[in-house]
Amino acid sequence: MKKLGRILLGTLGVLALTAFALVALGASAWLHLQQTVGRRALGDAIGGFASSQMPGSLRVEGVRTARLPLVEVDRLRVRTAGGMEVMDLRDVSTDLDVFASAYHGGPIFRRADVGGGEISIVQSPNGKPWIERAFARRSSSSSSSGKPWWAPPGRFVMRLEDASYESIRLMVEAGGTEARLTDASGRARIWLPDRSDVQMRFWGVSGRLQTSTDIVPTADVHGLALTVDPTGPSTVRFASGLDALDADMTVAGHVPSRDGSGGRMCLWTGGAPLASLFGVGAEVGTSLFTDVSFDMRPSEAPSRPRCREES
Amino acid sequence: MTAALWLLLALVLSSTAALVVGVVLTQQVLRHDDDQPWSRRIAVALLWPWAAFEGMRRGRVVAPALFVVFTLTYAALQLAAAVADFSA
Repeated sequence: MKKLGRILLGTLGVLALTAFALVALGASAWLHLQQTVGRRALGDAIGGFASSQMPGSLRVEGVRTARLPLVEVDRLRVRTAGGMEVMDLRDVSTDLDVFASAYHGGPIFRRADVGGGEISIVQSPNGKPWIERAFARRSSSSSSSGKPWWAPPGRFVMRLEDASYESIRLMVEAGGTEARLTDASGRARIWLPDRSDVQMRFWGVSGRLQTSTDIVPTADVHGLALTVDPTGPSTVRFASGLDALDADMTVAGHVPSRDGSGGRMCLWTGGAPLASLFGVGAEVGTSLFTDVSFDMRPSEAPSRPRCREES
Repeated sequence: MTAALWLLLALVLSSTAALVVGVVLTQQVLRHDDDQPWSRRIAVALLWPWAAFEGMRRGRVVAPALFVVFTLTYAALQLAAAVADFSA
């Protein structure tokens, strides 16, 4: 009985020491992350793990704060496998959900504040944006027999659920049409589920727009909503308010995926000059990537503009 | 793994090991110190180098030696981290 008691006591002691060791390990890791070497190691770990799971590369530079879940970095850059830079964000402050990241197998950021930078949404020859080719990774359950060489098997998840930003430069280029939004501020969300599609959503965006179209070469944008979703027939969909041609306008449109029909942009205006001609307003539809054709008909300015496909 | 990651891992493991060995060492020394005044027992419990010295003085070898090794290793790693430029 005495021996059993000593065995039990000894076992309890070992368990207590193990628990203490685990707590000490966690506390030591948290404390050392505050040091310069710890912050550098965290940046290397996030960038290294993400880069090993995607065709392109993700690099974290200048970790200023590593008080998990709060992480503040000077610069975050994403490149394709060929070295083309598709994302360059500066002064990023984010909350990293460590447990969700460990569970899902990839970084999950709940919130982010971005001070500036540039995001490039340029269509590659296969119809998908280069930014998707930088992140895209096929899951192991994919049945595709012709798996491209840049898509190693496995599961990689990344989510940035709510990012607010200011002074971002957003560049969109597809089929010869370019649009550049400078000094953009607003909100965004980036989703990369465990399949080969990356989804990006921007909303409440304001900024200065420059395009290569003749209809709206420059304009001040307010309330822009832009969605990049390769899962649908249109890769890029957008709708926004514009101050252009001395009128307050609403524009919406879509850029198709490679197998989709031609892109389209619709313009609504309720400004004074045209309102007097058509009554409430006018709808101008024009095809992107082909000769410009106008389709003018009177319409009410829609509260939720939708730019229909050509029939 | 980069050099910063290896150094961070080594710092965390050596500091944790020194901590755990320090606790075991203090428990070994204090177990036989019932006749000592409380002030001395508290001082030994808080000052682990003193506990290591007391342990060695009473003929213990493994725990004091491990404590010294882990502590010196941690100090050397901190020096290396200070000298190396990880600010980029």
